[in-house]
Amino acid sequence: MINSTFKPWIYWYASPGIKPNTFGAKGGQLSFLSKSQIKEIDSAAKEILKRTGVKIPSRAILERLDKLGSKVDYKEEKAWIHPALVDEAIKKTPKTFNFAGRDPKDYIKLDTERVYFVHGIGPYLVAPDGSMRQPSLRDMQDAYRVVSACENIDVAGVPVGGTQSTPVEYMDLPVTVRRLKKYAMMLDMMEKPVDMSKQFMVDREDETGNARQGSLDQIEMEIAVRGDIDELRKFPMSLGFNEAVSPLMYLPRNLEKLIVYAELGLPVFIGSGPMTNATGPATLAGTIVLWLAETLAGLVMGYIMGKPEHRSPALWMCFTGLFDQKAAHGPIMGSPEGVMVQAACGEIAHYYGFPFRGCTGSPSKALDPQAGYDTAVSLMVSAMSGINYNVSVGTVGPGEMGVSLEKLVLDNDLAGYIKRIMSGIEVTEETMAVDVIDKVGIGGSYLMNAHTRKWFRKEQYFPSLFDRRKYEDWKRRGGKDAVVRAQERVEEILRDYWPQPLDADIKRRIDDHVKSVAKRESRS
Amino acid sequence: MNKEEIIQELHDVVLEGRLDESAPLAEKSIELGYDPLDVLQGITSALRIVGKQFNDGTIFLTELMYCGETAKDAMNVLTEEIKRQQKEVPYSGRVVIGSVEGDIHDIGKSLVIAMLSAESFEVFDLGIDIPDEVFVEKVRELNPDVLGMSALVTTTMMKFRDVVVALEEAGLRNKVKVIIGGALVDMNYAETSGADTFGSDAIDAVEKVKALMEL
Repeated sequence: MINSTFKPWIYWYASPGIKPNTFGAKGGQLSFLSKSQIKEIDSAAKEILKRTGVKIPSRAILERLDKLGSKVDYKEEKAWIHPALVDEAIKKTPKTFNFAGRDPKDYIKLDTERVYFVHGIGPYLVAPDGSMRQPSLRDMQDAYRVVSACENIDVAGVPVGGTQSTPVEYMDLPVTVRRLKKYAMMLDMMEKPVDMSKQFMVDREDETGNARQGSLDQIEMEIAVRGDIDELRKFPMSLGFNEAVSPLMYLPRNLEKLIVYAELGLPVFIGSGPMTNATGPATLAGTIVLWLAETLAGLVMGYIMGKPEHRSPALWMCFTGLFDQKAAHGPIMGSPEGVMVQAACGEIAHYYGFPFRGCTGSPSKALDPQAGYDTAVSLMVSAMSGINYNVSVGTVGPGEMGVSLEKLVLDNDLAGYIKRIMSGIEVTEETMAVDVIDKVGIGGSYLMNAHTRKWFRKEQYFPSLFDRRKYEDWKRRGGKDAVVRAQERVEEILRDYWPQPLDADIKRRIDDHVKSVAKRESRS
Repeated sequence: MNKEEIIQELHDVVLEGRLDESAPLAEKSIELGYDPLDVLQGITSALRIVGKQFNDGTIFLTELMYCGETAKDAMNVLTEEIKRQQKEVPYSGRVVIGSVEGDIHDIGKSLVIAMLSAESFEVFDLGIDIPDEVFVEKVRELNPDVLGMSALVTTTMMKFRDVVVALEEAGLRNKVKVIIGGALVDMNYAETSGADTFGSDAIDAVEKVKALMEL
């Protein structure tokens, strides 16, 4: 009997459960600001901090600022941060860190050079025709399985149910328990790092207070996974998401979170997303100045609330979108203006030495050409300008409306294109191929050639869904457009792929933790 | 190496396109006295997988061509031996193929040959820039099931018709099926040329050849 179970030479194809790429492609081919412009923006932002001040509704932070020599108004909860303190925070805050999911071996390294693609979040599950619904637990699990199979997506987002909603099955649980149960499910399903950044914005009830306890509950779960806090510091699983609300305000719940992460030496997101025209000036430069003032304030707060023995690294971010004057709402992700603002903010972050997170997407409602164009342009500009952590891959709709699994598998190909472009053209003696050209000679073909065989897989990126076949070949294969092919791919993944289950010991520790929190909540 | 091992090894060599290894392996099987018809199965089974992998997009053109060449080298050795033993080689069919006069394009035709060989067709490649009368002579001499002609540009596409007419005049047209191919060729053009059908690409060409032969 002939044994025909042969392995292809290389799996080019999205192999399920593919691991994240620790050393992502290098960005920075594109630039919008000169060094001198960055310096001008820097002084303008520092002037805002000195002249206008920032709203900081946290007694603890205001007291620290006061003690360190910044002007503070306790009644108005405002502070005017001293420029020297800003410079000190920039200098002393750690600028690179690792980020991992349940297994620290599968980490990514965040610094100013490497570029990663991050699955986005959204409250609804969007069908290709634009219809949407609140996700069930099963939908969220499906989303994770699809993310797992996308080889160009480095980090999994909190899938459907991210910002405002939670799977319908969990809605009657207390808010903290609901979140932890969702997180436990994610850890059980997902081998890639998980973008937990907005986990604590999930439930609006949280605004009233228990953000500190909620953060601690989450971190304790992460400690249960890693074993101890030192391991968690080496390979953090989440970042404290501290966004300013433009213009120039911070919210109590975000500051609570920031303090917890800073005290424990775990990484934080620092930044904001002023919308041009509405919560920021109409001019792009003005929006950038405002963003920088807000971001520097956040950086200082994280710095002064931290401990010298384990300072929290910071990932700067900007999620500016346009507030569209015609549509009369915002933020519009995937607009040229928003993308340029974010790219410029990224350059400024890199100027200070910090990695940077940006947002892309499309306000289109359905999976149509606009969704494709918006996403392609915004993701391309973001990545090539060097934005290190690119969220919202796989989303569609205005204001992070929803997650589309079909768009995710298409965006996976787009991310592959962009990574290929960023990896550039290799020029060496071997790649210039003079001997090969000579040998093939005049009028020959390079198809059947050892040099071709050696190089074509390295030089060409093979999309799994974008079609390049001839008309008849395409027709013979059913004549399906990209959305139909994407639907089939999603079905194929959901039919064939299940992730490796979480280690049984870790799973038990997580479950115990969730139970103890549930018990505590039922008592109160 | 026993017979099963050598068949398995030849199968793997073809699957992986290890070009220099297939002919020596085929020769070795003959030296060891194994039935070349049995050994051939290692190649044909590998080629079936190769065709499927190419169709599924897990291997690509250059690799397919390497596998095809690897198979061909071994097949040449084995078919010679089969003929020497006065047995019949189990081909799917016989195809004569060439680019028409004035046309020097080679790539599309090579792909068709690679795909046909992978499907166990016996292919005679006449080459490029082939005059009408050579097509006619070769059809007479080799008695193929199918004649394939290729032309890339519109100026040389007119030649299809000339060859078909020459075949008619030689009284050979009803003895051979004619398939044409090239970037601009379609069914409409096939009809005006007097060809039986056209291949839109290499995979389609193989399907059409099979259909013409009612395989």
